[in-house]
Amino acid sequence: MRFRDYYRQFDDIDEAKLNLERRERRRREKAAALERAPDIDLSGTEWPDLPHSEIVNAAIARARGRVNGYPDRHATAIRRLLAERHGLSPDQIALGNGAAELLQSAALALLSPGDELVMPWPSYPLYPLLAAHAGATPVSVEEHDVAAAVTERTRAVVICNPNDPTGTYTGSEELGALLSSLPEDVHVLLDEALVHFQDIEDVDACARLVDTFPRLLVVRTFSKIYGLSGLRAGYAVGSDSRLLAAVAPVLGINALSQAAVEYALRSGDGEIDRRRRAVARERHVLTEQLRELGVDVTESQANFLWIRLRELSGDQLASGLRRQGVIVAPGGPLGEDHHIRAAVRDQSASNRLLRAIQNVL
Amino acid sequence: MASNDPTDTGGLFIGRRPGTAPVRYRAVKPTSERRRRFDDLLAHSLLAVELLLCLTLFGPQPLGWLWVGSRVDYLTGYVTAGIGTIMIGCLASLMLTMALAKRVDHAWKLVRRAAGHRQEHRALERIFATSVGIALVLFAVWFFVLQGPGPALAPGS
Repeated sequence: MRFRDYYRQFDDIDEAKLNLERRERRRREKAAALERAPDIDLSGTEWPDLPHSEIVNAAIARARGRVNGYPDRHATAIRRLLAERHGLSPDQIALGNGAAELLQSAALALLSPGDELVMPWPSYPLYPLLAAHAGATPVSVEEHDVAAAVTERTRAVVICNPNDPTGTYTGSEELGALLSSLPEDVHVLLDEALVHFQDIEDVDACARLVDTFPRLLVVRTFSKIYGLSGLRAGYAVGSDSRLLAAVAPVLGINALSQAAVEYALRSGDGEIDRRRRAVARERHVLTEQLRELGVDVTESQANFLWIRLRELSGDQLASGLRRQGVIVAPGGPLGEDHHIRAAVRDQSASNRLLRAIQNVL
Repeated sequence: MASNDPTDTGGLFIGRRPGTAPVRYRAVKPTSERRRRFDDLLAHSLLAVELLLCLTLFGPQPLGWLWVGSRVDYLTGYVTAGIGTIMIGCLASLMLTMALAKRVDHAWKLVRRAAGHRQEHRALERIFATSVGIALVLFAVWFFVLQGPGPALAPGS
C-alpha cells in the first residue's frame, strides 16, 4: 500500500454514501426476511384468529365488575338465548366448561366399571379416556358398525359429528335410525363441536332429535367456530333432566366466559355465518385440488381434511411437510397411522399445503 | 443529508441538527506501536508546518509583496500599480496559503487518526488564532521594544 493510500483509509466517510450503503443493506435484509416464510400450523382444529375485540371487551368489562361474587350458576341469559335459537326450552340446556368436560361428566354419570362405551374409530382421542376415567371399557368399531357392536354391557355410544379427524358427517336421518335401533338403556352422546362447519343439512337437524329420543345428549362448544377455546365454554342439549343436571358444573361456568359467550351469541351470528361459508368454500376447493394431485382425501364436513398420500405413513408425510414449514397432525395419535389431519384455513394456507404436498410427491 | 426514514431507523422518526453527525471512518487494523509513534511525530510536524504557513501571512508575505510593489512602482512609475500589486498579491497569496494550510490540516487529521487518536475536528482555526496571537506578540515586541513608537514609551531609542 502506498504511503498516501495508507492515510486515506482514515478519511471521513461521506454521510450520503454511508446512507446509500445502509439502505442497500436494509433492502437486502428485507428481501431475505420476505423469502423466509414462517411455519404455518395446520395441526389444530380451533379457530385460528383472535376473537372479536368486543367479545373480549365483554369479558374484561365483567372482570372489572363484581367478580368477588358468584356468577349466575344457571347461566340463565345464555340458556334462554340458546333455547330461542334451537327452538327448545331453557331447561333442556346445560352449560359447562367446554364440550370435553360435559362429555366426561356424562360418561361418569352413565358408565360404571364393566360397562362399555362404543365409539366409531378413528375419532376424537378423548373418547377412550372418557371410558377409562369412568372405569368402563372403550369399544372401537368401524363407522357403520356401531349398532352391531352394542352389547348388553353397552351403556353409551359416543359419536363425533362431524367426526374428528375424518370429517365425515352423520346425517340426522341416519342418526335417528341408529337411535331407534339402540336398546332403551343405551344413551348416545353426540359431540357436535364442529357441526357449524357442515353444509349438508340444517345446523340443528340432529339436535332436534332430543325431543324424540330422550337418550340423546348433544354437546356443543364455543371453542371451534366461535374461537373462544381459551374461555372453556360449551353446552349440552337433551331431554333427560337428570342427565343434564349431572353434566352441569355445580356452580356453573365462570362469569367472564358467560359474559363473552352471551355477547357472542347476541352479536356474532353474522361472523359465524361468514366463517362457515369461508371454510366450506375453501374446503371444497382444497379437496378438489388435492384429488387432482392424486391425494386421497375423505369427504370432510369439518374445518380440516383427512389426507392419505400413497403408501406414506402419517408420520412420514407430516415430517415431509414439516420440513417445508407446514405443520399438520399425524394420524397415529388420532387413530389411523396412514393419514394426516390438516386444517382448512384461507387460500394462502391452502397454497402452502398444496406446494408442500407437491414437493413431497 | 441525515436520513429519518423509519425503515432505516428501526421504526423511529429521528433527526439531528445539521453538522452534528458523528464522524465515521473506515475501521483499520491496528498498526505497530512503532508506526503509531512515527505517525504521532509526523502529526506534530504537520502541525508545525501549518503554524508556520499561517505565520507567514503576518510578516514574510506582506513584506515580500511590499518589496514587489515597490519594484513595480519603481519600474512603472505608477504608485497605483505598486499599491494594486501589493493588494492583489497579498490577497492571492493569502488564499493560496489558506488552501495549502487546509490540505496540510486535513493530512494532519488523517495522520492523527493513524496514530491512534479519535480525531474528529480539524485544527486550522485554532492554529490560525494561535498564529495571530504569536504575530501580535512579535509585533508588540518589535513595536514597543525594538523599534519603539516614541521616546515616552521607549526613551532609550
